[in-house]
Amino acid sequence: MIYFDNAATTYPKPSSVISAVNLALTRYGGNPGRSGYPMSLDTAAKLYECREKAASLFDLNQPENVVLALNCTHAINMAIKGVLKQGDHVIISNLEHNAVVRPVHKLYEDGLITYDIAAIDENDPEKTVRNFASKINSSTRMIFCLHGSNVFGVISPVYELGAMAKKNGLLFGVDAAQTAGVLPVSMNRCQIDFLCMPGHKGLYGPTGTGLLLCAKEKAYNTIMEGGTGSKSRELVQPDFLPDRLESGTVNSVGSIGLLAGMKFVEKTGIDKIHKKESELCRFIFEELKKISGVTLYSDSMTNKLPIISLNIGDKTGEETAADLARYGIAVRGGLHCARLAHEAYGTLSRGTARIAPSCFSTAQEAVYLLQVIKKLAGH
Amino acid sequence: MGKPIIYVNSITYANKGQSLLSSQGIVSYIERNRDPLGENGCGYGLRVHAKSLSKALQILKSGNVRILRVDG
Repeated sequence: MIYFDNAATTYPKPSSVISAVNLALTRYGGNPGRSGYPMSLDTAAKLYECREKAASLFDLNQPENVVLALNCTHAINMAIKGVLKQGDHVIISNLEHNAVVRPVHKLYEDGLITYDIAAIDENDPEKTVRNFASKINSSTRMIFCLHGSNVFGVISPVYELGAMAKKNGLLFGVDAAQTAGVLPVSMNRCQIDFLCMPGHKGLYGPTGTGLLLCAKEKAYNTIMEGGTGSKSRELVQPDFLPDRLESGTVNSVGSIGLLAGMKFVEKTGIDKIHKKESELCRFIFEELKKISGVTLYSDSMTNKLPIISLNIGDKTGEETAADLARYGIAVRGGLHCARLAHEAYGTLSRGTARIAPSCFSTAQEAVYLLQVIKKLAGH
Repeated sequence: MGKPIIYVNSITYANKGQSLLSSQGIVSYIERNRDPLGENGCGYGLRVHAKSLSKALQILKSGNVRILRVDG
């Protein structure tokens, strides 16, 4: 199988991650934060190391404000529902994944909040900021925006949006699902209040992992309550992080694997990872442009994430993905859990097929992909 | 000279405290709170040498590690 579905989850994982998971199962099998025997304490120490590494990678001073989540969607739900209250207004972008749209829309349907959608202009960051700013009203509490589109690879100007949010006294949440481990993200520099990411995409950790990084420690609203291994005499959740947002046993095996993934990314270098994936995508994109019958959705790969959406002939994205699978090529077709993005690009009726390499993808695989697409396009 | 134990909010703060103390040359050992019926129930503490206690408390406070109590 030739795997180009890394925007869904990265595969394969580095050997260091596989080894770390094996070691977690055999050596770090205690429940962290629940007992005092060596294996429990050792497991807890590894989780703290995971928090430290995440804090370091994303420029957060407090590792204790790194919350271990099940995935990026879980992190986003904790962030959004953690701060919004009755009457608040939120601004999201027109390219958001359902991980952001659905919790916001649910709060809206429940009559708790209102929200507006601001357009991202892929060629004009200042216009994007103006689009967001134009939606601000007296009830606006938060801006929540993706860093990079999982469908069309558009990168949003998080530095400028963060500055604008702060200037207007707003909270700023960022969905870094497609950029964590691919582009540098500094919480400090971009003035991000909540940074959400999966552990299993660009950070090369196992599925079942995600991270919520909080700039400030507060007694956020909780979406789940339960045992935290702390303040057990009290009937309420602790008021400090990460315990307040981590009820029940965390995915310690996954988190130890995620630690290994973050170390891999750090050792390899985010810039090198981005360079390799971008060069591969640029090559694929430029060759795709030469194939008649292939529809692409931008003019170039400049200032884009290494993600390409396409369609072939009159086929839907799902049909193209199924055709590619018959040739042993794995991509995702359809709407990619991103209705807003497909609406913005006029592809809601057919979706697209999405190509997303990882740092393990090769030029030979790209050449084969292009040969197959050429054949499917009737050449 | 005994080894007092500094109780903190959670295992994460015990880990953080240990890291802070270690960076300043103070050895500490994380231990479980042995009095679950006490004020806070479940919890963890950092056992340090008595000679290091005062400096340890200073370091933890500067590092935003909330100290619940000190025993011993």
